[in-house]
Amino acid sequence: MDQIPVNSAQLERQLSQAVETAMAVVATYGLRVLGAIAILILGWIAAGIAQKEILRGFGRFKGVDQTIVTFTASIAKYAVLTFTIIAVLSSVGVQTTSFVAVVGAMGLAIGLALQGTLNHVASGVLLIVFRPFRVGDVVETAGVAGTVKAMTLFTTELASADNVKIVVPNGAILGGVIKNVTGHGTRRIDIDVPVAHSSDISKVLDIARGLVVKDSRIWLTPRLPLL
Amino acid sequence: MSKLTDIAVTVTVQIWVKLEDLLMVKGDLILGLKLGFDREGIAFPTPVFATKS
Repeated sequence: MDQIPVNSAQLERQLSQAVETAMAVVATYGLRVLGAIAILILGWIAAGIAQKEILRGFGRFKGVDQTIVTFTASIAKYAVLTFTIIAVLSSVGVQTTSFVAVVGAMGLAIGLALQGTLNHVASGVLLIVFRPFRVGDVVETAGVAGTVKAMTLFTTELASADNVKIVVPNGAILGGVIKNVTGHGTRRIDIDVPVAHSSDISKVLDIARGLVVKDSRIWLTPRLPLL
Repeated sequence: MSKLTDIAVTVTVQIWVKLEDLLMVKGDLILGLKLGFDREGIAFPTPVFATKS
């Protein structure tokens, strides 16, 4: 423990030394802290601007799904925030090389842990981009059938014929066969009519032909109306 | 009228329709066939429901 100064001259000298040391510390680190705060504020603002601009930019295009727009904007915001935090740490003297390595390792660990979930996200993005079906289509996929009610990044919601809500993971949909029942504008109807052997087959055919020719809703081929 | 137990021939009516007409056309066609068959005395394989006596 320092000795208590016995006279005013010693006290004054020690006080001036303490003030000089404090000034040196403030001059060295104070500016860095101020710079870090400035970087943090600017980064925060930039993240918000990036998110808004992506939302506004994609909003001009009618065909782009709102889900993917929101997702992209969110990713952009957090990417800018991550770079901001790294820049802040770097400005106050923290070695960011090791920090970046830690972030990379964390990313790998999170990626491995969320492997299945990320698969669904990737499948959801592909479903939204390539659109093998749209909301309102009737599809058979992943062992279930129904009308598509909603498509999100993780799951697709169907309503079965008896109005049961079915939620299918996107990975299961993209990993299997997708049968879009309403994918084309026309459908073929096959009606099998068993007739007794003793019946007059020519009369049966005449009845069928008469019905088909009379009905203007019936088409000869997928593209050509019968009449 | 011939009996359904004699069934030996299957006539397939194959047509194309617009998606929005699918169910109505199918229903109308089956009904038309049934009425036509009835008119000509040809047995039609509609389900026969039991009735209370």
